[in-house]
Amino acid sequence: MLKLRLRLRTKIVLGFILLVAIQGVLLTIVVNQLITFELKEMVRSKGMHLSKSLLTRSKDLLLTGDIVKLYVLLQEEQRNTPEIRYAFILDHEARLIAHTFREGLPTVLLSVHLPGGGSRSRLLNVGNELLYDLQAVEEWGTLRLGLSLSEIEATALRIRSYVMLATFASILAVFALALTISRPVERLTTFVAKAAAEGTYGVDPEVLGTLETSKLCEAFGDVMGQLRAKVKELTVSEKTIRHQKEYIESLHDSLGLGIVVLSAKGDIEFANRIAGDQLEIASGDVAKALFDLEPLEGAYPLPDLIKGQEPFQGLWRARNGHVYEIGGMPILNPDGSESLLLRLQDVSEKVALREKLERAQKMAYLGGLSASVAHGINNPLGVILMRSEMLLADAKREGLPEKYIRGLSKIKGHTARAGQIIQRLLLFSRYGMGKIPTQRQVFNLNDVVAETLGLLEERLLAHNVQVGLALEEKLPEIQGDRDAVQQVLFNLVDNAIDAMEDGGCMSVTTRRVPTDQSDLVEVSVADTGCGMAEEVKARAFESFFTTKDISRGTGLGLSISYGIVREHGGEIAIESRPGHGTTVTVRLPVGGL
Amino acid sequence: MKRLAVRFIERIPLLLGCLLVSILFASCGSQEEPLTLDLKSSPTLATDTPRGDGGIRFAVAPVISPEKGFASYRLFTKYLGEHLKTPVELVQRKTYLEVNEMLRNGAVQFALVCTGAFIVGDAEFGLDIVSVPRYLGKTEYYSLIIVGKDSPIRDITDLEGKRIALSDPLSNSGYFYPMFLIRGMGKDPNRFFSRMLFTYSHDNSMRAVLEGIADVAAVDSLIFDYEIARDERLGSALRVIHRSPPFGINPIVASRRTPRSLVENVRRILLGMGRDAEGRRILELLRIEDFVEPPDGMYEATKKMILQVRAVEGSR
Repeated sequence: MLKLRLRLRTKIVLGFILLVAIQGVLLTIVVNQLITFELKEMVRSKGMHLSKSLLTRSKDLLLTGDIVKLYVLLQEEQRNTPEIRYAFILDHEARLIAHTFREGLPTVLLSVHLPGGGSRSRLLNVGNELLYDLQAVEEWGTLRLGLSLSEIEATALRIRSYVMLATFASILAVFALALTISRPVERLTTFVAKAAAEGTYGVDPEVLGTLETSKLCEAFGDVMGQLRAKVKELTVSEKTIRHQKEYIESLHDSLGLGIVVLSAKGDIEFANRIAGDQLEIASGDVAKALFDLEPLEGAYPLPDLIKGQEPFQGLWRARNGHVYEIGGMPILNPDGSESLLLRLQDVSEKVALREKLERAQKMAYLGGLSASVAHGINNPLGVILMRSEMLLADAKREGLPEKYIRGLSKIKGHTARAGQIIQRLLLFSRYGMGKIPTQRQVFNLNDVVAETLGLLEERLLAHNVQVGLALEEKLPEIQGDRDAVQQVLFNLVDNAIDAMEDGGCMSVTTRRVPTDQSDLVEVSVADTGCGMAEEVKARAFESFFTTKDISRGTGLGLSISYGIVREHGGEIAIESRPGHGTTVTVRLPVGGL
Repeated sequence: MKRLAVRFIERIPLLLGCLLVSILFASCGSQEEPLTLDLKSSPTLATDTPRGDGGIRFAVAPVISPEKGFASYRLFTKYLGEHLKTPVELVQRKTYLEVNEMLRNGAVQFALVCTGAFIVGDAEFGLDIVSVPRYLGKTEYYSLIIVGKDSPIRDITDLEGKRIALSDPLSNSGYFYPMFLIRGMGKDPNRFFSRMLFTYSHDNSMRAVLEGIADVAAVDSLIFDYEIARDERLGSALRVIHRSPPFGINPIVASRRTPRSLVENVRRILLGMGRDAEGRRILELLRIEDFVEPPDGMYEATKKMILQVRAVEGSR
């Protein structure tokens, strides 16, 4: 849209002139229309009255057939009333009786009004002028009168001219008035613009024109001065408030605590930076993050506590695993309302340390228990095994019935199995609790792999497991407890076989893994078995945790392996997905212990 | 409040616009669109041609004013036309003399005339009675001398020096009888009355008394009764001070130039009017029971009186 940039004075002058011009045009239209209308109505009314009166006067002449007098009457009426353009009379059978036309009545006039109608009028345009055709009707006859509106037109034209003249005079007067008003206003505008731009609030004598303008300028100067003083005050106050705010915030930060203030409705009224940092979110989402925390150790859900507006304290865990200690305390606001002040502290490390300690204590207890149980059972088991072997040999030699031989064989087998369990318990008591390996040997991991596979060959064949080997030839030797490392490999391969009950492929890979500090030797055992779920994988290294039947698993294999690898300065990792097999990787330092 | 004022000021241009449009609509809406006519090229009409020779013209003497005559006899002439199967035009003239002249020269074929006009016309050029109306079982009427209700005039002896309204110089009840009466008193009516005003209808004579234009009037008793019945105000405003002996009622006559067969036809129709519903309705409007043949000698006494009066006037 086009916007004209006009000077203020031009705007005022044009605006005034436009208003007066519009008023003039409106007045001309309205006056013209109203006067024309009113005058026409007047003529019409007068004409109707005249036509009725004339018809009444014509009555006796018409009814007694005095045509000559009728003509005389119409012509006299036309002479006395110059507006009458024509008049004619019809009898009760609509026969033309008399008229004022010198050369006969134009027949078009007979059809101006609908037949059978009463007294009425019709506006006619007969070419050079407007007429009102007025019809007066009585039972005995009809009189028609044509009244000219020329006089009205002339009157309306005169009035229009007067109004337009008056409008023009008003425009001139308004032009002068607008100039008188706009000059001081423009002067004042200039002064204000200058004052605002230069910041000078004094009254410039050059801009003082009329008394009113100078007073306005002075008043404006006073207002500007007061405004400046107020702005100064406000600036100082704002600085003070900002400093105090920063001071309070630094105090909060130095406490190392997350501070959150919640309204009674649970809306955040305040949250310091540390609260946001601790919850690892933007401050705007603090409320949501708080409400999502999971209560620990008997704590209640935070939304309930916030609603309660009572002091509380407890531990809550976030989805990212962090643990927060949160204390709540109601505070009274200056306006009398209550809010809740929350203190947040990330205690994840402290809690983890505490849990680790508790686990270590539990393991120490379990190790001691395992060692004493194993030692206590190991000797009698040795005797049972030895005596059952001897009895079996005797039975075979003496040809005892098969059922005895079979029974003795089972006793021997189960005793051997119990022996293995005892051995594991002993290993657990040794490695599961972080004990230092007692034996130190230098050995090649490839040899241990080959030896372990040899020991489990029968099981591999029995479970129809195909073995693939990818052993790095010049694998560096490592130092450590060879038997313990073999036990690790034994456990891994044994677990792989258990995972592939209907057969499958198992691959064992060794390789050297160079690192920045010291090289590592890696062995990984991958199977195509059933794999494990995430929650199973998370607990795989826990002692006594097993997914196998009670008769086959003790839940100690991976726990012991974990202990052995960690005691050798290495690491063990599981990669598994349900239905996609499992890969367990063990990395041991080349230097060993 | 301040915000309201600012909002109002902001909307002033809009309000002005609405006002402008409203005013323009209001001022333009009531304008009547003129009908354009070209008078110069229109065919013209001098006057309507009068009826041809085939038409029948029936005159009604101005016993009553032309307006009432028109209202009363329009249906009567229409009825006649329907039964004759030719249009019948109602003709009215201001005086009995004009009607008599039309009868004399055959400009009208039939006329309802005053008894006085009939007697004079018959004597001068001959007229045929077609039939006479019967009213309240009689074919007679009276001349009444009437004054205003509050008038001090008690009888005809009080009439001297008064202004009298007369209906027509050929009227029996409205002229001949009062002249006869005054002359019977040995007075010359022209001197007896301070003024003699001809009103050319009996209802106009009554109105002249009522309006104070005349002190006394001589009127037809049938018209007087009709007018009083029509307007009760008249009955209470006028008073009858003298009633004449009975006269033969105003007859319907035919010009001697009217074909006899037509006269017979019209007589037959008039005598049979009371036998059909439309005819009865029209007779009722005219306050006539029916039309009958005139009884023998019903106009003799009247004729004698009129001729006597005319003789006196003619000798002066």
